[in-house]
Amino acid sequence: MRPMIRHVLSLLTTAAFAALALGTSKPSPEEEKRRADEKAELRVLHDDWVKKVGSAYGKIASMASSGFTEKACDGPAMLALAKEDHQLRLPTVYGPFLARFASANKSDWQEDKGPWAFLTDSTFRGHFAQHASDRDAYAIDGTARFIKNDWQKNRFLIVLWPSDEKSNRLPLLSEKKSFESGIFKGWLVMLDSVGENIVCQKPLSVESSEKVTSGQTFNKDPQKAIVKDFQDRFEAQIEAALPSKVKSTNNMGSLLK
Amino acid sequence: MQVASVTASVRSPLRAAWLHALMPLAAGSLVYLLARPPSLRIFGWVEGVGLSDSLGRAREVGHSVALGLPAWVVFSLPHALWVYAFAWLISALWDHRATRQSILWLLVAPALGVGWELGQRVGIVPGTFDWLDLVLALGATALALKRPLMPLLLAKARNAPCDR
Repeated sequence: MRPMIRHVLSLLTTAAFAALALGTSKPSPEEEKRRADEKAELRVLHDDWVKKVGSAYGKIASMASSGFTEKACDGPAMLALAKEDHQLRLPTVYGPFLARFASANKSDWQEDKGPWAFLTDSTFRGHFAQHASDRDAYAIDGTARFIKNDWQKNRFLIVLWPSDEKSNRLPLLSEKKSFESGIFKGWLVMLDSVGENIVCQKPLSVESSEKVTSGQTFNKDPQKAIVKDFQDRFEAQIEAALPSKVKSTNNMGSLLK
Repeated sequence: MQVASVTASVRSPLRAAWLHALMPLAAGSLVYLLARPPSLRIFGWVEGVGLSDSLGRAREVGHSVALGLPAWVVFSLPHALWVYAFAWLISALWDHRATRQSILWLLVAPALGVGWELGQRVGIVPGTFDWLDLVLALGATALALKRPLMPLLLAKARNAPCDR
């Protein structure tokens, strides 16, 4: 290697190290104060939003116990409330997942490992898998930023509420090349996380296809194929139940399928 | 030269760079990003490039491990690992030989790595001075620069006048 190249590479290495050393130093007192203020503000926003979702969850739960009545969603009105012109992309949440938002019990905040976990948007699920007091401070900041820039900004959450948790089931492979259909009966409820309210609700009924013929996937892993079919149909039902210009961000894990 | 020896001669520096530069650099960075309190400048930079959510998720996953790490691993070791990687890289760029051209660069590593700590002591560099940080940074530079500097020191010792 020519000496000139060695000098240049040494200079670049030194510059890179100096940048790393600077990056790991403490910021100036002004910058530190600004960040501490921003952090405190984000924490208030986080706690406030969690409380509001918890309160709205309580309203859905009480409405569910007295019985839902269908009420159509007004897409343009929702867009106007969210100050969005083009389209609203909202996360879906499995109703019982929201119980933690209304609970004073820390142990209710746990990772959802149940069969219906796929109904909750994975990003949303990941941010609320643990109680705030058990989480890393930086991670809570990240959640608060998500709330501020996404979930609070777009106001609404698509809540998928089961009518009877016990009778709903995922499809199950039985003997040779046959399966028991998956069933979900419940409601699609639009939760307004800013107004702590429910804006509309629609019945939702999903079943597996009569026949699942997804070629290679079926031969390789039939159980996976029938679940994929059920999830695809779920996704289609949600899309059909949503008003125009309102979409779900949950692809039911289709990127991983 | 045979093909096997050419391959070995290419693979060997790469393996050395992986072991002595990339691994300490990556290990130090992981501790900084996943275990240190998020008050450092670097966290502002991560936010600036829009990676704060991914970092937040990673910190969440490593939260329980980070809590169990001894304080010296979290607060002193990462800097020493970086200093080692930096000094070793500079040394490798000059074939681990102290020559008239390389000696200045070889001294930049301890000057920056150890000087950073001493700068904190006198208050010209932001941060908190810690003796353990200084000792580890000194050890890291000594270890990384052993190959180029040891012959120089030995030669000097041999030529030094003896006291009776």
